[in-house]
Amino acid sequence: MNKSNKVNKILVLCTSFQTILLGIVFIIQILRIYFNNNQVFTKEICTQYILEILPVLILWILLIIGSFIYFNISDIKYKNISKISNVTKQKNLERICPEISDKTLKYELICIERSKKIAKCILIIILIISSYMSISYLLNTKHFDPSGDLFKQATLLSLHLMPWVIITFAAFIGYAVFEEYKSKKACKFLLEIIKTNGKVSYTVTESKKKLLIKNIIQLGILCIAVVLIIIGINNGGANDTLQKAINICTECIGLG
Amino acid sequence: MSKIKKFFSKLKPSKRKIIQLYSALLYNAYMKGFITGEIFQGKSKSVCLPGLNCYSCPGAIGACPLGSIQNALAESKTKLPTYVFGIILLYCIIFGRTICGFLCPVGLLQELLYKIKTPKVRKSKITRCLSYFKYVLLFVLVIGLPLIYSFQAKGIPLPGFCKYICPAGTFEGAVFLLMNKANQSFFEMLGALFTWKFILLIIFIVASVFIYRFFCRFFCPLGAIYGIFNKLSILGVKVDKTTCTHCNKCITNCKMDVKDVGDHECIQCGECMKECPVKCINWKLISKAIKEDDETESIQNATIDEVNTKKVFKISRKNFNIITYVLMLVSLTTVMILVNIGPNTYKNFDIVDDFKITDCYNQTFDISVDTNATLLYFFNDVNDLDIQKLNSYRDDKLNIILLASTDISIDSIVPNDSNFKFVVDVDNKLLKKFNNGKANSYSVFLDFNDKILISKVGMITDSEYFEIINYTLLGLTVGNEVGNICINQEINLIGSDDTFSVASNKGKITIINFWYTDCTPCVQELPHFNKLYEEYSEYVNIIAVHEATGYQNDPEDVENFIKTQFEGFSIMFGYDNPQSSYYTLLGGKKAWPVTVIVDQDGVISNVTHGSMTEDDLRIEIEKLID
Repeated sequence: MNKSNKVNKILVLCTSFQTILLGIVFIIQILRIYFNNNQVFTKEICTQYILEILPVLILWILLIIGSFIYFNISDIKYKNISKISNVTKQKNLERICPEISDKTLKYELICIERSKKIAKCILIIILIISSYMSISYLLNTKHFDPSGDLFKQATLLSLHLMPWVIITFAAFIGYAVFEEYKSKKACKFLLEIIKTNGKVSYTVTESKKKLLIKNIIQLGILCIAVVLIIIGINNGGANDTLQKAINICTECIGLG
Repeated sequence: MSKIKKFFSKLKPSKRKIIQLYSALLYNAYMKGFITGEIFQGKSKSVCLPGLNCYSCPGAIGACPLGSIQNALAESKTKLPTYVFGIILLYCIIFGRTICGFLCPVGLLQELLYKIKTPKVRKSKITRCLSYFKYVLLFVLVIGLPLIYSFQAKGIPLPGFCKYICPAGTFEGAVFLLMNKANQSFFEMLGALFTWKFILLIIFIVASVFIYRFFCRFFCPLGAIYGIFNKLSILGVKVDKTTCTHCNKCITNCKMDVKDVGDHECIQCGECMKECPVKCINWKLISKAIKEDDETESIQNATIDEVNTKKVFKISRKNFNIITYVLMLVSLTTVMILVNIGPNTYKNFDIVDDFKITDCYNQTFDISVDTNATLLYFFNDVNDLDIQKLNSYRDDKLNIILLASTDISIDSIVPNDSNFKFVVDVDNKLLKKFNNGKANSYSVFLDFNDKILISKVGMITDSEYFEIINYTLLGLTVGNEVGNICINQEINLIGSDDTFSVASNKGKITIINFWYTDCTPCVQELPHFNKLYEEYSEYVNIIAVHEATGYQNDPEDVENFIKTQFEGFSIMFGYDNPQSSYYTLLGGKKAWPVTVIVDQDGVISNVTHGSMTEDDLRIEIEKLID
C-alpha cells in the first residue's frame, strides 16, 4: 500500500488544515477578549466567546470522527483477510506459485489503490469546501449571537449547515462502503490464487450472463434512442434543429 | 529506388487517416458554399453530424451536435429536447468515442498539427487530472448555462460553449465566411467576442503542435459525452482478457490519458493494436466478420460439419478493405453531386447575362444587348394574364415580354409592338432560370443594367409598379444599398391583418430590424429599439420583422415569444414572406440581426449587419432628424 500512503497523507494534511483553521478561530476569539474586555479573562467572558464558535467546534469534531471512520472502514476487511503484510504475501505467492509473475499481485494492488485515489481526492475537495463554507458562515457573528435565543439560532444554523455536513458524511460513508466492496472482491480473488497454488486464471472472464446483460442494455439504449428520435420528429425537434442550422449562428462564430 | 519507395511509403496515409479525411469531406460536402460564401440550406441540416463540425461552416451539410444540444436545452422550457438527445444517444451507443478517433474533423486537424517535428509534452498525472476539465465544461457551459437562461422568466437562448470556447465555429465558420468577398458586411460584426475566440483558436492550434489532441483531451464536451458510453458502445476496441499478460504496453504507448483500453479517455483509434505483443486487442463486432490469414488454412481443411457449426463464412481482410473504400468513394461522390449540382437560378440583384428569345413574329431579342428595362411575365393560362394592367405599364423605356408555357393563341390581343412581345416558353426552360418552374405565374423586372429588382410568384402589384418600376424608369436607383431608394415590399403584421411598407411610411424615418427567436443578439437589442421608438415616435416608425420560415413553421410559438419577451413594446412586429423574402431583398446573408434605416424620402441611409447599440441607433436617428 505504498502509493496509498501518499494520498492518506494528503487526507491527514487536510484534516490538520481544518484543525489549524479552528486554532486560528480560537486565537481570534482570544484576541477579541483581550482587546474588547481590557485583557480580562473571566470564566463568563471565555464561555461567552467559546459559545460563539461552538458550531465550528462541533463541526470539527464531527469531521474528525468521520475521517477516523473512513480511515478504518475501507481497509478493515482487507487486513482481516490476511494479517500478513503485502510484501510477505507477495513472497509467499512467488514461493507457492512460481509461474505467476510478480506483476500479478502488484497489478491487483495497483487496481485497488487506483480506485481509491480519485475518490479520496474528491472527498478531500468536499471536505475543504464544506469546512470553508461552514467556517466563513460562522465567523460572521450576525449568524450566531450567544446572548440571543440559542434554540432558534441552533435550528437556523442547522438548516444552513446541515446540507454541507450531510454531503460530507454521505460522501465519506458512501465511499467507505464502496471501497469495502471493491477490496472484498480483490481479496477474494487473491485468496483463490493462494488456495489453488496459482492455478486460477488471472483475469476475470465475463460470464455469458454478463455478456447477455450488456447486449440487452445496448439494445435497450438503441431502442430508446430510436424512440426519442421519432418523438422528436413528431414534436418538431427536427424542424427546430434545421431552422437553427440553416441560419448563420453569429454567436457561434464570434460575430454576435 | 528503394529509398524513394521508403519515402513515399512513409507519406502514405493510414486507413484511419483516410477515414478521417473522408468524414471531414463528407461533413463539408457543399463545396459551392466556399465559393459563394453562403451556407447550405438543405434538409440534411436537420440531422446532427457525429463529429464536431460547425453548422455555420459554408460547406457543412449537417448540424453541429454540440450546438444542437445547447439550442435544444435552451428551448426545453417549451419543448423536450428528445430529437437531439435521441440522435446523440444513438451515436453514443453505436460508436462511443470511435467518433473521436475516426469521424471528427477537429481531431484530424489536431493530429496533423501534432506531426510537426517539435518537442512534445508527454502525458502524466497532471494531464490525466486536466482531462476531467471537459466534464466541467460539459456541465457548466453545454448543459448548465442554456438551462439556466431558458428557465428564467425572460429566457434568452445562450449556447455557452459555442459562444465562448468552440474553435470549430471560429475556424470553420468565421474564417471561411470572412475569407469570401461576398461577406464583407460581416466585418462590421467583429468585436471583443471575436478577438477572444480568435486568440483561443490560436492557442488551440499552437498547443496541438506540442500536446497530442490538446482540445480533445481537455476541452471537448462532445468527447466527454461519448466517453461515458465508451465501454457500452457496439463498435470500438476490446481486449481479450484471457490472453492479456498485463504488460501495459498499450497504456504506456497510448498518447491519450487512458488507464485501460476502452475507458472513457480512449478514442478507440486502434493504435494500441500494433503495440500489443500478444495481439489480444481487436475491434468489437468487425473482428468477428473478418477472417485473418491464419484462419484460411483451417477453414480450407475443415469438414462440412465443421463449416456448418463453426460458421466460417467470413470475409477476408483484403476484400473488406476494398468494399469499405468503394462504399466510401461512392457515398462521398453521391453526396457531393446531390448537394452541389442543382439548377442555378438567378436571384434578386443578379445580372441576367444570358437571355435570348424568339417571339411569335420570329423576331429575336437579346436582353443584354437591349438598353431598356425589361418586365418578364411567365404564365400557364390565359386567365392568369391581365393584359389591361400590362398595357397600362407600357413605356418607351420598358420592354414587356409575355412567356407562356404552351402555344396559346393570344397573338391577336398582343400587338406587334417593339416593346411588347409574346414568346412560347417550351417546358418552362426560360422560367427555370428564375424559379424551379412550378409557379403558375411569375414576374421578373430587370432594370436598365439587366439587374433583377423583382423576382416573384404572381403578377406585379400596383405598389411594386409605382415604387420600383416607375422609379427605375425615371432614372432613380432602386436597391438595397446605402443611397438607393429602398426596394419596397408589403410586410404582414403579426397579430393583425394590416400590412406595413416603407412606401406608405414616407415622411417618417423607417427602421426595419430583421430578427428571429433563436437569435440571442437579436432578442437582446430589440429593447433598445423600443426605448428609442418611445423617445422619437414623432419622427420614426420601427418594425421588427421575424424570419420567414421560422414564423411559417410555428406562428403561435413566435407570437407567444413576443408576448412574454416583449410585453408592452410599442414597436411593430411583422413576419417575412417566405416566397419573396424581404430580408434577402435588403441584402441579408442568413446572419441576424440586420437593421435597415430608411430616411423620410425612402432612401436607405444605413444598413447594419449585426447588433446595434442604443447609442449607435440614436446617432443615426438624430442625423436624419437634423
